[in-house]
Amino acid sequence: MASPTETAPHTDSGVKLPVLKREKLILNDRSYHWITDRICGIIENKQPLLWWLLFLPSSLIALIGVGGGLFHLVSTGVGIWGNTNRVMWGWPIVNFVFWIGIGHAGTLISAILFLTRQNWRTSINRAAEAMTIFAVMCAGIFPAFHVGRVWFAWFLAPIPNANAIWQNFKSPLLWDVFAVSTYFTISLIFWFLGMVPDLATIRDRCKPGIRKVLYGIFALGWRGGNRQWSHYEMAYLLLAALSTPLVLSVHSVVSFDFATSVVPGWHTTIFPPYFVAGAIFGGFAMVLTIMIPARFIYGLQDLITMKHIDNMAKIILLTGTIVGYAYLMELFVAFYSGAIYEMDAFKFRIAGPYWWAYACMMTFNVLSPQFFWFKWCRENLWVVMIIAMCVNVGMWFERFVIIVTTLARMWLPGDWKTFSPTGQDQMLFVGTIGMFLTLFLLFLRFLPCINIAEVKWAKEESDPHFEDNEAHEDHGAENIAAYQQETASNRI
Amino acid sequence: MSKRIWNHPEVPQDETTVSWRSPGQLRDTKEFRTWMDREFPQGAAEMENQDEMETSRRTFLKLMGSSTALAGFGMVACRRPEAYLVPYTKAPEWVIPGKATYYASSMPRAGGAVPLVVTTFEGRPTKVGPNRLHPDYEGTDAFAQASVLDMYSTSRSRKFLKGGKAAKKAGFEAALAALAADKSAKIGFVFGADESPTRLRLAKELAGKFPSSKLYSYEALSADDKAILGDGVKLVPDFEKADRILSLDCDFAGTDVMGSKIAFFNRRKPEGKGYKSKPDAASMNRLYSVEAAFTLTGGMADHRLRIAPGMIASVASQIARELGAEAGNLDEITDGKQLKWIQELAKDLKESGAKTAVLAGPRQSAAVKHLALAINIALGNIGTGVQAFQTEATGFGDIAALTADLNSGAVETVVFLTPSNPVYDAPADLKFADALAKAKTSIHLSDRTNATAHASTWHVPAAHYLETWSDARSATGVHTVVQPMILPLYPDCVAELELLLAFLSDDGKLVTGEGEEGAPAPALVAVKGTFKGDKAAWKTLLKNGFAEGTSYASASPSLAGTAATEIANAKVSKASKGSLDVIFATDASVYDGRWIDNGWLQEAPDPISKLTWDNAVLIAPKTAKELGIYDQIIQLETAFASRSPDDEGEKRKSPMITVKVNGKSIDFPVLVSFGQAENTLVIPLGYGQGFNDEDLFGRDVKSAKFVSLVGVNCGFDAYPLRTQDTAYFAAGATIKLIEGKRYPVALTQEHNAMYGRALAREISTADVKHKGDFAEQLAMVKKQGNDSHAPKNISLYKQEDRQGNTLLSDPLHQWAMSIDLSSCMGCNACLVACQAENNIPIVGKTEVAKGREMHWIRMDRYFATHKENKFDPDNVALVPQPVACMQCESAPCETVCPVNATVHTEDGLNAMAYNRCIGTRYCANNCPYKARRFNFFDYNKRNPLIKNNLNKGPLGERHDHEPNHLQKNPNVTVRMRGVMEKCTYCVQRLKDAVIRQKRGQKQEVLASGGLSPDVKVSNETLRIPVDSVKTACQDACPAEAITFGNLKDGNDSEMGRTKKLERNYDLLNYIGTLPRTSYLARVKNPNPAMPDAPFIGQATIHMV
Repeated sequence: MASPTETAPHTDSGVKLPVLKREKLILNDRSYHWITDRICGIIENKQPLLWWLLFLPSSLIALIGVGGGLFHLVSTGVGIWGNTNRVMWGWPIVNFVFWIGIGHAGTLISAILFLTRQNWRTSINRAAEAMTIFAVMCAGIFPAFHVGRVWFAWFLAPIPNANAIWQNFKSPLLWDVFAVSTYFTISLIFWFLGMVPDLATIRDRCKPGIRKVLYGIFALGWRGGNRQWSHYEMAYLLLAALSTPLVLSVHSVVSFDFATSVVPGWHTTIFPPYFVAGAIFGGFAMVLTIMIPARFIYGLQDLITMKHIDNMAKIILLTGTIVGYAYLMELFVAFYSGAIYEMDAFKFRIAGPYWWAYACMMTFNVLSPQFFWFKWCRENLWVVMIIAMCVNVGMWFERFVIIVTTLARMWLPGDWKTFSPTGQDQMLFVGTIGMFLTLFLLFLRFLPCINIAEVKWAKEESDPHFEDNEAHEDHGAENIAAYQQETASNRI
Repeated sequence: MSKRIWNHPEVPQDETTVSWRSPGQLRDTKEFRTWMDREFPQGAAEMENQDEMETSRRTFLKLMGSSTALAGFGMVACRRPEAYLVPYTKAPEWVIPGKATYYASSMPRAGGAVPLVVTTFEGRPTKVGPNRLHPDYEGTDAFAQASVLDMYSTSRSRKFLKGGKAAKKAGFEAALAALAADKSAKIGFVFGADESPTRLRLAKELAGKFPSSKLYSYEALSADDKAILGDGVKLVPDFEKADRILSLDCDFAGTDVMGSKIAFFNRRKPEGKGYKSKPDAASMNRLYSVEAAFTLTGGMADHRLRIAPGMIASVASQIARELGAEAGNLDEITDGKQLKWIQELAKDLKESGAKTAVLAGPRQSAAVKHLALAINIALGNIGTGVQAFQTEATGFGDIAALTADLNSGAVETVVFLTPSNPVYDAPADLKFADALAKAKTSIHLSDRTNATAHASTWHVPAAHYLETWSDARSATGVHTVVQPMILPLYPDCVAELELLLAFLSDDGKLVTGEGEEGAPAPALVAVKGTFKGDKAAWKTLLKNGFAEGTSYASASPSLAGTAATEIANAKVSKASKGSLDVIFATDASVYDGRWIDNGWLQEAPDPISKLTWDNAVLIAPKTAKELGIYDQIIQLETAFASRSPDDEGEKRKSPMITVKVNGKSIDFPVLVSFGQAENTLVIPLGYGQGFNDEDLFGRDVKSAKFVSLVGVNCGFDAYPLRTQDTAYFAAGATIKLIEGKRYPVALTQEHNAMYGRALAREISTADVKHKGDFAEQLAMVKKQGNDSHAPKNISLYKQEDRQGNTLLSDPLHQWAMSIDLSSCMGCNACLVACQAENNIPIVGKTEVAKGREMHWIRMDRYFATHKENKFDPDNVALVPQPVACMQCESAPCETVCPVNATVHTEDGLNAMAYNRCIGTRYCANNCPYKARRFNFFDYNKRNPLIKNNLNKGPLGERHDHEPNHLQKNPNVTVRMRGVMEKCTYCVQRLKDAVIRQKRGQKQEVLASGGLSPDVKVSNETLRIPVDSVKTACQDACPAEAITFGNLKDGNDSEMGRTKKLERNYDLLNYIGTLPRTSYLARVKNPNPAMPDAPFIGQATIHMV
């Protein structure tokens, strides 16, 4: 063990950097009480008419689309979908990858932004996490039910049995099963754990009754004591650390389904980072798509501020550009490889029978986010909303391009045939959108959609040194960078 | 062949016979001892000490917990199988459940019976294969392979019909007795064009009994050569001897049956039959083809001249003129290019002299046939390249005579024994239906209740050829037996001979099937009566399927006196944009229409157009362009392979055109066909026999009863356009596009070019610019296309385990296959054989259109054109390529299956465990050859042919109780929905061979009086003999293009030799899958002097 040396440089001896005042994350100096009231109020008050107008059709669509769709599927066969002996994976896997991608923003916001101490996450992390859970649920439906014999899907689980059925751990599809289920489990625990203090708050505000009992059960006896907070924060930190690699792993593993295959157009090493970037890209777009209306409906403008939206728009810009780079790099590598099959795969994507899908993908994913370079675009909610919607559509098309156009034009021209989805394909996809909305609306109705406990940390009063700073002439928060604060206070 | 041994041999008292259960026990090794001692296999009996045996609370909970969990999971998958097991109360001889028994038989057809070996399981014939002992062994074609399905077909006629309505057998028997009693009856018997000695004998007796009766022979697409060659004379090419072959629109390799063509295909291999010698271009034959429509024969041709059908007589006449034969005074060919082609061809034929064969299409005009005969005589090849035979089938009238006799009243009773359907397929100008209506009585014997059945007074359900005693003559006249495998499935069924015998008997009694108690079956007696041999000879006949040394007498046809005038009167038409030629083509799926109710054939894609379930007018791209319909139909492949204007997959809709010819017009869908002559329409016959109310165009629903669910609403009937004079082709047709009317078509292959990928490779025996001579081209086969610069494949996976043992560790067998594209013509025999062998379901038109056909062998067909072809750039090359599972050693499908449902066996197969498959379809995505097929629906259970039935799921109509499930091979799993399936080299046949090899040794030792310990097994004795097992596709192949065997046999096996050839290459070698199936590049043998020679044999490199 090395001992500290005398000559270790003092970190505080440099030039003090001027630090800009941070933009406030909670506007109008809302009090703790106001925050609690406003968020709990969503649950405690009657839902606005709009909620019902959205909920009823969504749940009906979910029931018919997912319930009916799966019933027909399981009773009849995968043939009710458009998949063929050429395009073995069609819409179902497109939708799976689409939904699983959406599920990425949640964990990114809750785990990575937590670890990097990005306080702006607190206003949106709860909803984003909920979105993750629901998106992964929607996603899970597709791979589970797209198999020919869903009643034997348990063969995928390593259960010892008399038939000596054992899994093939070389298969990326099996990695997928583990990656997605792990991701779902961790996300669910993370989400629930973060909600415990808030559930206790709601429990405490409830009148005695069934409601109180139920919230009480889920609050796990939370009393808000110091020891509990101490344990809670440690557990939360650990979970955040645990789920951080998952953000990268899940979509990397999903991309392995394609990247490890021998299919021209799939077999590329760029897939894991490109998929992850794409997933974050699509996930943030979905957060915006959902949070912008919710913010208005429930009057949360003071908590979800333009600063939040600005941040998310910037992330979309960044990841969108990464995705665009990946698209172009794919083309370059195909050209550079000199392999005719590789080159043709991309030629057919661009100008083959599905050129329109490729064009949609390029326009929506690469071009549309570029508007976020301009501040006024990030500030105009209509523009933000339109671009977020474009990205949602574009990301679906990205998966369509990767899966369908590739399979429709593989190695031997003798088997080339295009694919057309059936009504049932569309029904199930629309059904999952309905299911997602239904679940999200129920979440808004019954659970605190903003992290009550954590969002208060963003208030200046939550800073333990808030008072000190006020008393001191040298307004630390203003002049000393955050990472220098500790040493600065030591000096005093 | 498996034969049941009834009794175990008596054990002599002083001997101690040791029985043994496995080779391990015989060898009595240490491992075997331990294995025996263990009682349970490894892992199952691991609890050795008392502590482990004792169940602790912890263990108990563990076990209970996991078993409860398993019970919960397991119950979900629990299905009670529905099965009825009924043992034999009296076991029939030779029958071992699950073991096949084989019989020699043959399938009668026009032009000579196909000698067959029929596989039966528990008395059910399930599969036919060729009889290799037979002198006229010719493999099998798709029709022969599919014929077994007809026996079990739901469309099969089961009941008597009177006037189209169900009737009792007794009524017919009474009518028959009355007819037989009346010796003055004016009966006309209409036979098929096949030849059966017994039937001929009975026919002569009939003529004796009924002096005013008449005999006719009719099949829609068989022509009568009486006037050209003489009555009963026929020409059969001898490809063994023919070095140069000229086909004047004769599709001898495909639908025009001309006898065995095995020798032709073997001479397409530069290494000769069996690949025993060094590649030698001189040993190859050379095929010249003059034709309009692309046929499989044209695809095989070294030189193909595209010309409208009306000009073929001119070309033939020009060739005859060049050779100094009778050429009539037809106009000379004036086109410089064509003239040069013909002159060089004539020169080449002349040089080869007697070693040539000139074949005219059997449906060609008399003039062309006369010319072909004149050329043959001039070349002096009769007796060498072309054999002439005098058959016994003489004195038969044709359909025109029958019509005339019916109209005149010379025939009052007509008995249809022909497989054709004259009311539907007789030439339109004969108005045969009207003539038939004049008959007092008409009796129709057929296994289908087609249009003639309903137009006749009586329809008699016919017994299938697998259910009847008969005999036949193969192409060269070898006396061949037709044996029944089973009694007729339905009691009312009557065999042809039985009906004739009833007419011959005094009381007209119809005795069918087994015959009367205590007496042998009447048909058997008749067949034996014709054969006349002793008991031993009869037994040999049954065993071998043919009588040794029998054949037709040879004939020496000479040019008929009328030849010159007939040639001079030949209709020569120069087709033009405003006056198109129409070819009424024989269909590769339904033939003349008789197979319309056969699902296997309907779903087998047309070898050229790749169309299933329908027919369509085929038109050359240039003509389409000139007529202004080009933009409506598929365009030439672009570099970017966009969708064609009529779209792809289930959305593909062909435009409709009205074809007007011979004063009639009919609407057809139209498809572009590359390589077809310009200004020519090709319309396959045999479709459009019946429609119900689901028909897209609302056609006549009254015809629905003529077909079953398989054939209903299929295609368009072209017979009304066809007259006696224009039986094969008609001139002066016009077409008109019908705006806005489109018809969905189901094609199995929608892209026709190879897109610069060296998939099906081709080389030439002639010197080629930049590519060198034959030897250099051979050496470069492996380096064609992407393989020329792709680096060597390096596998990260070691093919050995840590001890250095190879992972594919079976020291006895390592299976592999090779497919010789040089002899493969692209017919569908293998595809249908595979369907029969492996219980592959049909899926129906809509599913095929989506791309869900289940064929384990996909018959890819590529067109290629030489960029610099100045001779005829539109005369594309056709290269077929059958693609099935390649059994890759490094299989991409295996690594991606999450549940290990597809795994590699130690003998090198890529096996499918159907029961383990959950259907993720990942394997199929990752298969570069797309050789895997997924059961998207329960095709075996739910009838895919009923509209929308598959989408109804459990509410859909089932068809698994119908008789066609009796055809299924009991050794192959019938797959349910949701599992992946694919070729496994007929693993059931391989395992059977291996088991027989093991068992046989013991039996041999015991039979020779030895003891069990005397059986010495080793790698040498357990390995099956070289080339002793054949896969179904290989067995069926009429071109001997598929070789299969054990790599461990090395050069001893035919397959082993092919693997060492220079022209052996791996498909998509670039990915490094190490496929066990490899291809042999196609070799074209052009005549360097021909003007088109520089463009031949280069399909791989120069593509559209």
